[in-house]
Amino acid sequence: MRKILLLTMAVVLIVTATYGQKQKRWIQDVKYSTWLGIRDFHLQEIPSDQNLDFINYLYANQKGPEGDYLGFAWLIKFNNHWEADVKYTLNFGYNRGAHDIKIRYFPENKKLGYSLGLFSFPTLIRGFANFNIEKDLDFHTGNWNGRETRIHDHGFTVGVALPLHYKFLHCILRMNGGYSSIGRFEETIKQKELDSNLKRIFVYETLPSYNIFFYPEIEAYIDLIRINKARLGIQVQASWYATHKFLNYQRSTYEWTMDSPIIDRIESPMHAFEKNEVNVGLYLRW
Amino acid sequence: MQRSTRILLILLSIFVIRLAFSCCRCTSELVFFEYNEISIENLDNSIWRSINHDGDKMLGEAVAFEIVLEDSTWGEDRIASHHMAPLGLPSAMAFQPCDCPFTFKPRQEVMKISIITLEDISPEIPADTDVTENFVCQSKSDYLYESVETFVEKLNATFISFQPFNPIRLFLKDKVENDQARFVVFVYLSDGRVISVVSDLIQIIEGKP
Repeated sequence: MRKILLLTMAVVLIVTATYGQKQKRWIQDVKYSTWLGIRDFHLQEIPSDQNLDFINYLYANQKGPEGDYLGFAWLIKFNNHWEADVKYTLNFGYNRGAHDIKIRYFPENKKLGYSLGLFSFPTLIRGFANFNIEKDLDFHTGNWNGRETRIHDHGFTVGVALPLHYKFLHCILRMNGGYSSIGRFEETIKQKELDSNLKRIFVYETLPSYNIFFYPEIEAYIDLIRINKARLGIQVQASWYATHKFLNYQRSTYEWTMDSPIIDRIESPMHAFEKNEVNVGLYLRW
Repeated sequence: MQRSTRILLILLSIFVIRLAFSCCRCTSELVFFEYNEISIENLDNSIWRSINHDGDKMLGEAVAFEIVLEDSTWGEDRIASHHMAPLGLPSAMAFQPCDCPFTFKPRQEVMKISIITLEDISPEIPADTDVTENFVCQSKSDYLYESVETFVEKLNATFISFQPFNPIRLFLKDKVENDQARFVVFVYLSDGRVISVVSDLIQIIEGKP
């Protein structure tokens, strides 16, 4: 449902940007941009020998930059002080991209604008079966090879924006915050005890685990070429995303048969998490 | 029409008929069979999966057997006649005969399976105790086991195979604290017959079997 909503909003905005210019009454400015960027993640690992902690196995938990990404954005400024901003980034290693959709309102005669938005960021949880392999040495852990699950980190943001313009130089400072959570998923680990007939299955069902985040952004762009009202330029964007991630879950343990599971609710600790992004690209405004 | 052309057309027609009817046609027609034989084999379940095992040694926590119910009258002639195409023509033989399995349905239903231990398992489970509930069966569809009662309910459905036999893998949940074990398995059929089989005298060991 969320994907349909985001996609619908994006299509409406793109169509508006393409055809709305004909109706000068309500669109003031349209900006289309594309860029190449790099992301860097830092995730605090908290070892656990008691219960599986999925956050320790986020693909983001790799040292160094996560990789290049390609981005696209449409920004539409309406005559009534509202603007809509749709960003889509695609990591070359994934099938799905990240969405970031915001609407902003700039009160009349005020420099500061207010924003509200939704975002979705895909990532992987990888190698989590290693926890049971390393902990349960008396058991053979089945279906472990290459275990990974694609998940989405999604949430909503609120923030303020401060645009600064001087002739052909432009800079926008944005301060955002909000709530995010990793999308729910279910995973199964199968085990057989060595030298015994005992078999068991762990069924992990994650629970909503909302965390507060802090997300400042800066965008600077320069108009290089001007043809009538259209402007072509270069832009640089940078952002810093900071939060504490955790993922609670319900674990159902089935021994021998699928009857009478032992159900536990496991709460995971908070892991400090940071995501830094910087990108450079071109834009066209008209 | 010239004579040579006529002969050619007749030969071509025969070839087309053979070709049309020689292709493999697997059928889902039910093939009924009788349960008239039961056998038992030991299983080695010490590793990540159970495998058939000729020896008579088992670990105390890994006592397991495979029971096979089958129709001993099923032979090669029944396979060959099933694989013959209509009109008595042999089926396609490019590299191997038609490889169609059968859809089997037993004439009798298995009503109940009971297992009696002939040796002491532990002080709490002496010899001559019905230990059916102490055993579980390997499910045909799930990773975990099923109770013997649940397994029997699913045993009487049709199944697709090349031979009419139903393997049942039984696993003892309790640890055998004795140094030997032996069991008798009774299978109660819907036609009133009870067929049974006795396992080998199993030597319980500490290390690998």
